[in-house]
Amino acid sequence: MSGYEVVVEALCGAGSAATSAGEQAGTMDLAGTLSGVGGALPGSRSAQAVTGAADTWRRQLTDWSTDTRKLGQDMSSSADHYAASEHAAVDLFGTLGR
Amino acid sequence: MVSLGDVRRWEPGPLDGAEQQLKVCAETLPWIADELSGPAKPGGWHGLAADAAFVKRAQLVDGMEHIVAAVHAARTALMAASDGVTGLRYLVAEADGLAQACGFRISDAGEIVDPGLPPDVPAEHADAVRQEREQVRAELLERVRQILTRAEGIDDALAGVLGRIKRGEIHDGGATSLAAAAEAGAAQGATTPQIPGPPPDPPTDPGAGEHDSDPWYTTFDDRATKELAGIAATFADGIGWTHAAAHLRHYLDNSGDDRTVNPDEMMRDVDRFRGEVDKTTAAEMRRIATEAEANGTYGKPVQFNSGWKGDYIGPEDSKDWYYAMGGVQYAVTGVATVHPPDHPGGEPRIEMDYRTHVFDRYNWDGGKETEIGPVTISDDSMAEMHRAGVAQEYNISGSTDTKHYTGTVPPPGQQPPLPPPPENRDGTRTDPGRK
Repeated sequence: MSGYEVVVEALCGAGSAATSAGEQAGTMDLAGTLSGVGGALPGSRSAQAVTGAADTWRRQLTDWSTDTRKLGQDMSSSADHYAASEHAAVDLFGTLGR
Repeated sequence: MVSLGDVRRWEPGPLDGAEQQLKVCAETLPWIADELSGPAKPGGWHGLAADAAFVKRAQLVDGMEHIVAAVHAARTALMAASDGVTGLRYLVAEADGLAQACGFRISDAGEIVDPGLPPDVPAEHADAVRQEREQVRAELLERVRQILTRAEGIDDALAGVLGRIKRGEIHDGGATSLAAAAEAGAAQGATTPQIPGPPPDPPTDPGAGEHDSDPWYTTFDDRATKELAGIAATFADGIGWTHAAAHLRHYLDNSGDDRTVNPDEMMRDVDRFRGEVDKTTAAEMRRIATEAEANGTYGKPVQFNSGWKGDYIGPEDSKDWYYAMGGVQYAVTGVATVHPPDHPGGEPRIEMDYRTHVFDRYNWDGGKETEIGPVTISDDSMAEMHRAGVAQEYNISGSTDTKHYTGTVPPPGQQPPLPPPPENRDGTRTDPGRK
């Protein structure tokens, strides 16, 4: 493989990995782990504070998941773009050499 | 403010369950983040897009480090809360058991429900049994107070960490790896409880009655008494009764504003009072050590609060403080960590940060006469000035700075070498800058 092909392949792999990480993070329910805390401490300030902490985690993980998937997609798009450019270049040189 | 009924329904199980679920998440998050750990800038990839991807990936890794830190902070806080609730349940069961054994019941509001003397108590023993029941009742009330103080401490610690998670304040300690972020987060979840402030002001006696309530035409003699009291204050100051003079002058100033006093000065000047405070402090140490052994909470900092205790500083203790305060309420609050004995059968060790608080209502209602130098003043005439509106009663309170003690827990009857009050002379005759 040429150096250019290596970059495209590595970029493709990194993009897929990032997309996968984002998707997995999106399925994780961090906020749900706190669902039983309020009921365990009736009348407490902690019971009231649980909702705020859970909301923050829900938002942070959603954002992280979205941003990571987008990074992965962008890297994959770049790889596709580079691959397309390479094919175009091959075609062009092929035409010139004819 | 939680109630005893609330605390009775607190359960450690769901707190442990939440911690366990977070543990699973905490093990999965790094694995997910590892997917990002490959080269974000594969060799040979250059240009604006490559740079932007590199920056974005670094931001995402940093964001995950903060999430991981917060998860570990929550785990630590939940474990501490679960341990605390386990200890609380033991204390509640013990108090309920004592109440039941003595024919009382503790309501969810924390009140001691007394059905009265058992019908089979012989009449000749009724007074003695009644007195004994009153002591048990006081003991139960004290236990309820301590349970609620402990519950507040547990709740404050967990609510504090959850609040910081909500506000995104759990930091990763500048970590460069998820493991380091986890460690930094766990440390932030172990909130050291703060030293409780003084208990709410205790009830005071009615004093002289309503301020400025006497008709104006009856107040001429009170104005004369005020002149005399002013002379007494000057004389008291001249012979070194600086606190008595200052408090009397504040009464005569007629503002009714609260006044602050330093309990360390009282303890430095009145050894017996210091001894009483130290005895109360030692009793709290023994109580906390007993609980730590019973609950298995060695090594965990817990808050304590002795509640208000009454003492009377008499003229034989210090004429300055007798005239300045007389009857006084004091309390000791702090945070203590008990460690197991160094050897079997030995005494546990304790680390303790604590403060002493005092409270008094400055009023004159003793029905006696006081000679201050050439001036004789009766309590009645001093109280009259309040009703006449030419002087005014007020609250006196104050707290020491935090003191620290590390050492063994003394057995009953022995006093630990608690730190003495500092040797400053603020407010005394040797302090030229005194007020």
